[in-house]
Amino acid sequence: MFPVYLLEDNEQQQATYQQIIENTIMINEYAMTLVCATANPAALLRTVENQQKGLFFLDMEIGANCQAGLELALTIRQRIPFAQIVFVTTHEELAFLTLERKIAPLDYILKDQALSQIKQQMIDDILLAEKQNEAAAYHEKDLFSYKIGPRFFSLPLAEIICLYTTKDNPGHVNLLATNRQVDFLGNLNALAERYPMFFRCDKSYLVNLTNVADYDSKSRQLEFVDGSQTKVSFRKSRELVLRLKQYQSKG
Amino acid sequence: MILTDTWVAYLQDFAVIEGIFLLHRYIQKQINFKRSIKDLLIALLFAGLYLLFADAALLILVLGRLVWHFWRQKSYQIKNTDTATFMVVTSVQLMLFSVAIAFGQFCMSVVESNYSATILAYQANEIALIGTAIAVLFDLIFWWLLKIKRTEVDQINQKITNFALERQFFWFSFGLFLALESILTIGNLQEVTATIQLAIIVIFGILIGVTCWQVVIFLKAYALQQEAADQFERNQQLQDYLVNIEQQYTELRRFKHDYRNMLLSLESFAQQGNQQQFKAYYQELLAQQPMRTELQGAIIAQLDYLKNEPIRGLIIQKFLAAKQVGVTLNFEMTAPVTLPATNLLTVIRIIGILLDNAIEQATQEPDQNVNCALIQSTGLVEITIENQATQVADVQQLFQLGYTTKGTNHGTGLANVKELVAKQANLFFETQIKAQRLRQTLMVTEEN
Repeated sequence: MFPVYLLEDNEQQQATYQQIIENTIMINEYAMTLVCATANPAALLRTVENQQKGLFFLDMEIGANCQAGLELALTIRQRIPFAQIVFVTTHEELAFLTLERKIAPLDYILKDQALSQIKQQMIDDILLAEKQNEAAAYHEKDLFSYKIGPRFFSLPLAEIICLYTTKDNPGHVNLLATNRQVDFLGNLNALAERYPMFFRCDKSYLVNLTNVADYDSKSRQLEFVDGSQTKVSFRKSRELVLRLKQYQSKG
Repeated sequence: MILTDTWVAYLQDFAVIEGIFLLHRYIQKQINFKRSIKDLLIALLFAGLYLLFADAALLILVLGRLVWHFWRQKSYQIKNTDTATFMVVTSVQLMLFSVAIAFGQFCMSVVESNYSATILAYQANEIALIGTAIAVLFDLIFWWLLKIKRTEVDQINQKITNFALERQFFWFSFGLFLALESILTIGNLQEVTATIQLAIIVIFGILIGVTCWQVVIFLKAYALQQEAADQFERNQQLQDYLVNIEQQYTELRRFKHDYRNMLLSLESFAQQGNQQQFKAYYQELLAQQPMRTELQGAIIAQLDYLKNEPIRGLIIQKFLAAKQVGVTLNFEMTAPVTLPATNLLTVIRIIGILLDNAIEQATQEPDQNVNCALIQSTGLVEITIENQATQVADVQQLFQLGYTTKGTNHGTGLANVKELVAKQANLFFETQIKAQRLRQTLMVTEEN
């Protein structure tokens, strides 16, 4: 069963949200349960133990502590990297970008709006969580991670297009994904070893074959789903054609 | 001018050029294996030319390097301190070698107890070899000086870049180099004795030392003046900002006044039990302007979290600039943020460019909000800037846009950021596009 959690310190609201969640699960016959509806972050954490997944609806301000929701979310994120977190809160308490960077929540539900809208958003989020949970992209083994300073960042492997190095930024590896680009300290040899599913098509390029759109073996030009291109070295061209054929035959 | 065997002259010339290359690469922090090999080959080649043209070979080297530099950056402008630094290093190297050779001659004179100029003819090879050895020693000392003064050298370099004095610096070093070249070349042609040449060079060296000192003082004064001007501008901005806050306060007070009246009527509706009217009135209350808009006073309270004065100034400045073009710049800081001081100026430049870009883009978008968050975690500060970008579908397209279709003026912004980030070991840059919003993050790690 896929667990759903609710943190809200206003009893009235807690009851309302609880009902919305339970009704949605029942109507859609999802394999989900509302495990916990509480006003106490510590109590919620106790029920989370040994879980690998979960959908969390969290209020930001609990009692006098206006960071309680954020602190709880950070702990949850550490324990369950793929937890789907939704903040239910008022506008003033939110620091959107900070939350995006630190927690990357599934959604925000603003309490300033009408109850019908809140209800609709909660239903949407439950549906979305269910959908994401089914999609393979959100399982731990398919995760690419890198480190900047002391912090680890990660993203689904399926989103990665290629990793490459450039001459003017030695020691750094550039990561190009479907919707982001970032650089971090590292070297391609080590990455190629750690992620054998990627293909080294050139001495400075490590590419994700699942995101290849087209390969012209004459000009040795490799094109990706986002339209970016790279050159394949002469020695690797044959191997690349073989690998691409394997992918095609697999599905 | 001393006449030595060819191999000795070649060795000496090679030492001169290789020394120049190594010192220059060290100052520019560009030492790596491939470059060193390349430099070594060029040094071997030019040492040959040196035999033919004597000291004029260095002029060829410098000019050749300049042409190559222009060709690579595809414009004839002095945009960085690279060539100028190279010429300064070359001049210093020339002086060091001249002094070293004179030293060599002196040593030989002591050994042979021959203090006349004739020793130059008899012991040319020995003098040249000893001189070269001493010069290498001088180079090592110079290198060691650079090493302990590394931060100062970097700071001067940074200051020149910040004040856009690259061109002046270039002409200064070019003049210096030319003067030195002419002394040496004319000295050689006229066969001026080494002693007089040494005297000229020492005087010249002292003059240059004094000039450099003056330049440093000038830079300091310039920086102070700039600082004062900035301070003045900051005060002005703060003043504007306070007026802004005051307006808000007045508005809020008026609202509070109205609010009480509204609550009273609400109470009466409730007492009458008129559900319909109660609901309608409640909705109206929700739709009130001050209920919808956020308090902007938050920015000043949050700014207290920002521990670096120059960045605080930048943020207030951009906040007001954005306001002028109708864009709201929202800031988020939930905890105190301290940026590492080492390359603060670069960080400020990058944030400035990113905010300018975001504000400009926001003016063309339906959502005229720009969000900026400063997030501190242990050993890492993240600065995220977000704006709507309905025209950009993916990151790849953004970079193409940035470099080409938006025109040179805009393209350079993002290109500059990439360049600045690449130069600093503790800066990382992330671009992300999510739900038609462009989010750019500069990450600053603490240097170890």
